[in-house]
Amino acid sequence: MDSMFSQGWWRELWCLPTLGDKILVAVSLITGLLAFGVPWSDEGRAYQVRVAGQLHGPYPIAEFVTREFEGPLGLTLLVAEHGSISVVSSPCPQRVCVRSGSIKRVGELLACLPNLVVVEVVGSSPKRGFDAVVR
Amino acid sequence: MMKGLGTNGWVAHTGMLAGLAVILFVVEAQVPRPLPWMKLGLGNVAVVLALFVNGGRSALAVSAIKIAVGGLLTGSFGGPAFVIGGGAGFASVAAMIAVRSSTKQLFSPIGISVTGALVHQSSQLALAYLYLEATGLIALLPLFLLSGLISGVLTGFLVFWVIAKLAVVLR
Repeated sequence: MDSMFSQGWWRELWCLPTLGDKILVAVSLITGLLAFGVPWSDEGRAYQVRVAGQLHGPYPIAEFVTREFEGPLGLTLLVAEHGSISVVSSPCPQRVCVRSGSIKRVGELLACLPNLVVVEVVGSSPKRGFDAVVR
Repeated sequence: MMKGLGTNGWVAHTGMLAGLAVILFVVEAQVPRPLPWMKLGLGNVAVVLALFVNGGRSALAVSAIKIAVGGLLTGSFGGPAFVIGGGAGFASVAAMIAVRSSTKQLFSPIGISVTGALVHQSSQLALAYLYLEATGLIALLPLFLLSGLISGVLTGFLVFWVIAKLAVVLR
């Protein structure tokens, strides 16, 4: 074990864990990756928009509507249809928000950081989101 | 590994490992992280070490001291982060002791450390859910589990390395 960092150290690293270790890691890795596909939260009933920290909404998600929000760079255009929200145009350089697709579940976010526009899907209750960070 | 270790030796080792756990915990708390839940959990190195070298009661003591003193030193004692992190810490060490004592040689420090990290992450989310009623947090579970898996493997290898270095002293 003294030669862990000498030649063939990767082979020794691979030989250190027991078979049980490797099975545990493999199983939890697969479970963790599969868990990304599970819909963990309910479909939202409303959405709200924050422009430079100022809150707009909540607006009902079922309403078919196009909304414009004016940020520092210009107008960001949202479309709500079939119970989901997407950004269709924004004046930001990267268009990350447009390429993020649509959101419909409680807690999901669309953010256009350069234009300071953040869209969040919320549930029916007024109590929302988390205001503390855990480490 | 520690044959015939008397009560004094047990207390001394547990105390040293508890000190190590507190130092690692406090130092790690100062390091900026890319995301709030991405944490290596270096204090867990001392807890797993105590479990393998001194046994379950020692690991429990090291963990409790790490949580209490670490919480006092970082100023989070009594706050929501302390309740959630501390509760998760106790769940984690309980799970590691249970797995270690029920499966004798199945897992090395790596497997035990991964167990602890996964239990820590999932109970942290469960406690946050109960304490803050933040439903959106559950969606973070896969991310929490994967980051816990990575840090569990890394700290497990660290424990291996420390045991190898200490082998001369501990024999």
